[in-house]
Amino acid sequence: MAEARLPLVPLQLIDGEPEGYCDAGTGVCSTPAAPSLDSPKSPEAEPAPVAYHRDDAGP
Amino acid sequence: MTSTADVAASTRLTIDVWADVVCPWCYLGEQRLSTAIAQSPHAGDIDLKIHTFQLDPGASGEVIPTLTYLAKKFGAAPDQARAMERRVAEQAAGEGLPYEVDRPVSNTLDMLRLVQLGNDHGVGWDYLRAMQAELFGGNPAAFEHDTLIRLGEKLGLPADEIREVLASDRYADAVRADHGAALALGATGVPFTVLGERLGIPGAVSVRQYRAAIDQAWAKVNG
Repeated sequence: MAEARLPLVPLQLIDGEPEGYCDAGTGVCSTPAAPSLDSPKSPEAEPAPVAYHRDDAGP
Repeated sequence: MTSTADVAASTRLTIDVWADVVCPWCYLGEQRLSTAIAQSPHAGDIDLKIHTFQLDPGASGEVIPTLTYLAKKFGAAPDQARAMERRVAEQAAGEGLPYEVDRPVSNTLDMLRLVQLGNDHGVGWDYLRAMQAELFGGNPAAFEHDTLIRLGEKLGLPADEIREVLASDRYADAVRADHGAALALGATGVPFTVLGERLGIPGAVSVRQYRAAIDQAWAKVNG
């Protein structure tokens, strides 16, 4: 059985936002921002959330 | 006195990844992480381990089109869902990955239980990746047992053992344990990557960020 080892010290998280993820609690996955002719994509722009998969049972 | 085994163990880095088969960002993130590892001077000293994380335990066992799933579950308009999927497909294409918008979706528990079986045989990562290649490649039979058996056999897993797992609830506890472990570690999303049991990466990041994280974790563990 594959069990994860729990670290002895709290995890250090890397700096910066992920490019994309699926939320562990809701199952909602992000999607890349749509390109716009009017407003060039900012490097700081966060991906827009999109209802993609949902964990009905919840955490 | 330090044994040879201790020295060997201290010069390796373990990378743990939590993912679900149907998670698009897991599919992309795993590819980027694999690329980063291949580019690392420590590539030969990195142990990669996959852990399962079921995003939708309540999903039906019925196999339906992904766009239908989105529409039924969240009320997304078909055109809107397709447009969003196409943007993810563009990201996948950038990684050289096939990504079919018109692909099936279903409950992933059976798949994840087989990934756990794969882990016991040392091929869990490859099994997950093979399942994702079928799914995101658009194979409408990606969830079929015959497909899962075929993929497992190609990795050297005994077909009889795969059938035995599929016919039982074997490894369901392991799937739940992996899920709980991710939450206990503070995971808020998948993919969730832990390097050297010290450095966490929530979500999918760039190859450059994965490489930097590998270097940072290597220094922490072996520095």
